[in-house]
Amino acid sequence: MTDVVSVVLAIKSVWEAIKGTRELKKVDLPLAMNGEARKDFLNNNPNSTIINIAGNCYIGDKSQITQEEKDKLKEIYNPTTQSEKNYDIIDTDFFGRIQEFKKELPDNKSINPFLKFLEHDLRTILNLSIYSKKLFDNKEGEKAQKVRDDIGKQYGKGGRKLCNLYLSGYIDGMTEFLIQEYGDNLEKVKSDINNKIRKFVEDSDYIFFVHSSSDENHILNNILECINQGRPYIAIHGAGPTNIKKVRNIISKIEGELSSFGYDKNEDNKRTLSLCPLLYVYLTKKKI
Amino acid sequence: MDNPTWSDIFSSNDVSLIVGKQQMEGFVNDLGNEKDESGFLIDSNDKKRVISQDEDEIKLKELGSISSGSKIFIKDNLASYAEFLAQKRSL
Repeated sequence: MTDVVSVVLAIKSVWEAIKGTRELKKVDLPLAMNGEARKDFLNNNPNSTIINIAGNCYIGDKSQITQEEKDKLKEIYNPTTQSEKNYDIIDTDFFGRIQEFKKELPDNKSINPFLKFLEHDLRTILNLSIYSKKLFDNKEGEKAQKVRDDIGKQYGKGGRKLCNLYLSGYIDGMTEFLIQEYGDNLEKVKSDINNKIRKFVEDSDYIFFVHSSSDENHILNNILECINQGRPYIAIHGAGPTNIKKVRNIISKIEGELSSFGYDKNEDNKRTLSLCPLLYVYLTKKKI
Repeated sequence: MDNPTWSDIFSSNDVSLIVGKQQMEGFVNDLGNEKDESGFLIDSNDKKRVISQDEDEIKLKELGSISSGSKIFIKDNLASYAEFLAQKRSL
């Protein structure tokens, strides 16, 4: 707490020097980046504004902005002028959340190599899901839950479902599988990936991607549940010898159920261009 | 920029004006908007409620950011802003 007080005092001393003037004064970035102190300062000094520009922070007295300058600002925001300036007039708490999220974006690209090929809604949901998982892993559960709530508010049930699939490891599983399947064929990735993910979200209750960290028993129980519910179609995918072995183990354990619940089993064995084996198993309920 | 002026700020390309609730209302007014008696943001000229990034009406207290190129009101929702970044700023 003392720390916040001393930061507020430091910002305030800069403010006192320029309050009521047209001068803008630079402040140490760490001072301006302390969210709690920034909020306290702004709430108690209604004419103040903190300006973040090119990695530098300044404090200015908003009441000193002239009409000519206000017109300039209006022009930046005029929808008909198509200004290419990136301007945000942004709430201090919201700014803090966005800065933390933006820091993670470059890392997210290495976590999911397909992000760059995704349409903006899927890319946004996955970026936020990856961020939410990192927050959970860092024991920041409250912040993580808020991110998930925001996804739900913006994208509804479909967004929540994709986020849950990511948090449960299914999107990583799918990605791992698709990397093997597509190999270096980027054109195919670009043309297929969005539809594949949308279809997966739609059908996720009965499509399983077995991947390196998949729990065999967990998938087995989910498949048994689908069979018990009489799902007309269940698909299981595995890429690479280890995952294919897991798929075969799972199938061997459900042979009895497949027969007694009336399911046909079809297998498709393929190889990628790099000769990685792929196994697709389709279980379809016999029509009576 | 060692000693920028407000004019320099409004001539620059990538700027965040970080504000509290009170300052936000001031900027909303400067840009030709205000809140109606229910707290929703309206255009000061035609008095019509403005539509936010997520295609919904928006209250001043829900406002997270006003972002350029066109005037985009973004709710205090990380998903709304992240989609705005993906759509308009290629992030």
